[in-house]
Amino acid sequence: MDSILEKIKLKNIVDINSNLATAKNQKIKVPKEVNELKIGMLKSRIEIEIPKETVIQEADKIINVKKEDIILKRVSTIFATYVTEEIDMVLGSNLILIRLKDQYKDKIYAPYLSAYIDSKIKVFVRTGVTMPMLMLSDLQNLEIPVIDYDMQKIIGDAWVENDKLHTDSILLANERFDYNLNLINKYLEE
Amino acid sequence: MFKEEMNMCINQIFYLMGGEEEDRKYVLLELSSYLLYNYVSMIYEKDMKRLRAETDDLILIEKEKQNLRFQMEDDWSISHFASLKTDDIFVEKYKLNLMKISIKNIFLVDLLYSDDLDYSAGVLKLLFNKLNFAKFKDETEIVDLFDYFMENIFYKNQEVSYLSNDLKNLIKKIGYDDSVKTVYDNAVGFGNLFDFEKDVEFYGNDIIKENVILCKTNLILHNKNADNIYCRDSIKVTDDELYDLVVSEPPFDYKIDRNDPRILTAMNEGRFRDFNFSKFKNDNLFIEDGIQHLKPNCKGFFVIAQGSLYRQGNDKIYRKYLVDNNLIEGIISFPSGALNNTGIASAVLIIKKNKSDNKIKLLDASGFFKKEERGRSKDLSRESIEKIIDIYNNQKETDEIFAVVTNEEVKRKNYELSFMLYVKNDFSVNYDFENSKNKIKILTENVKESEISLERKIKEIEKIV
Repeated sequence: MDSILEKIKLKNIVDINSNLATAKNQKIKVPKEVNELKIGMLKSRIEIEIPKETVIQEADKIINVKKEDIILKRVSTIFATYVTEEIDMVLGSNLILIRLKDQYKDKIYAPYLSAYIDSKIKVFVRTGVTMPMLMLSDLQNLEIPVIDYDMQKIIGDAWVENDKLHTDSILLANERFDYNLNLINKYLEE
Repeated sequence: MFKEEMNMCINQIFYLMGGEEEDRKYVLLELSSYLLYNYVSMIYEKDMKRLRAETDDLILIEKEKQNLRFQMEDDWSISHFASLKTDDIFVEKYKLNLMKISIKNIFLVDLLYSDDLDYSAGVLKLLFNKLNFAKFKDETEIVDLFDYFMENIFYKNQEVSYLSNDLKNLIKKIGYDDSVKTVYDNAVGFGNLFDFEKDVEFYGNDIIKENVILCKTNLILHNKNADNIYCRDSIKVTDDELYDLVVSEPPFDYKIDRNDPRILTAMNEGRFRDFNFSKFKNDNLFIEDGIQHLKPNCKGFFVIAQGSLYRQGNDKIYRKYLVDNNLIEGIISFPSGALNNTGIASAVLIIKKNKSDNKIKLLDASGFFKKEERGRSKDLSRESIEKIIDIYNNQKETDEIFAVVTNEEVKRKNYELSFMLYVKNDFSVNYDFENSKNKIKILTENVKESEISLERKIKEIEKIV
């Protein structure tokens, strides 16, 4: 694109948190845990599995998920998702959380960042191993093209909207399928 | 020399008591569990040797013994343990990943082959006294300790399937009525299916030595007579005793050696002469053995794989035998995941001798199981157990999960006892059509909105591109 103003490395503009670091023994109780991401389920592609009312996590590992965060799934099916609503959750294992630093919020639109990362991370996936995996170092050095903010807004919003449509369509299809199936069964019984 | 090392080890444990409460408890629990195990094995060591000699396996014991000593020297000797500082012990422990090493490799196994029984008993008492210090006060807590040991240490090292506590309780509640005075289990394991709250005599056989020792420990801790548990193969060696109740969780793939003279006799002229033996799957022999040990009008409970309810071949021949002789009282089927350590769907086959009618009760209990939030196993709540028993005993007419069929019906269905064959497929019973309609309505609106909004945004992008 001609309109690229500059290129910045991802690690300079965001905080990257992953839950894989070793921590000390101190454990505390936290409310809920974002455990797994699945494509096409619930709002903004997140299916949140809540294992227990309270999850005991090691103190160093607690990362609260907030609105406007970007969450990456780093093994198996790799993709990014953007958190559109306020949720009371902590980050589960094997996920990566990306949070835009405050000073860059005027310069970069978070959904745009999310869309760009989602489109690029698949390139970095290590294949030839048992399970595809995203390396943290590749992610940190990813170069983000900064374009005109209004443009970013258009692209980002479209990406989020597309995501929403995708999710809702799958849910609708599932619901319709169940409804029809039960209706047919009911008829057969009678 | 051994005593000195042992004393050092004990001192080390006491020293540990100055550490964190949790660590202290953990080490003591583990050590005392192993001591407990070894103590009981010692009591019955002579007994075991005699029984093993009866079944020509004494050479095996000698071999095992040598292996143990070899492994012990390699892994973790007492002197090594005693020479470490407090913190190091934990480090070493994690290094060796103690929980994963089987009981055989633990250094305390040396006690098993020590001749000084009094000394070992003394060590055990001393340790238990110290346990009191660590807030273990009475005997019930020692029983708890044993349970802890079984669940957390022993079971995890075993690659066998076993019943969850809920299923045990279910079988105990249905099986043990007041008339029961003697119970027999031909694959006793750890005594899972024995109800220790009842005043009954327990009899059992198992082929694995460790299982017998643990079963005896279990019985002793519950103040029961442990002399009737034998280390032998129920199929090869047997007696003519009859019992009020037979419970059993036989292995799912009992293999036989066709060259074994005892098997040959059993096949040709013995108890199982009417049976077809296969090379691998002979679980039905345990059911037959159970039936042979059952008094008239009494019941037997057998945990079986659901496959044997509809499989062809030997299983079908045996089902035909059971149905034609009017021996099946009922079948309660469980979902897959109800047994720990295996995904095989299971069921309880309830046998009754001299039945008055020709009916078979079929109950599908899979709906009562709830999946644990994490992990594969499934749980039953106490209310669910009572509900299942209520439905089974009082024959409540709930079409979805309960059916009473006659032997003739089973015959017509080619002797298949799978529950689904005798019940209507009733998918829509609990389906909320209204709720679903609303959901569809909301989702359709959402999708429409999204489509319009996305179209607008995409057009903007098209303009730029």
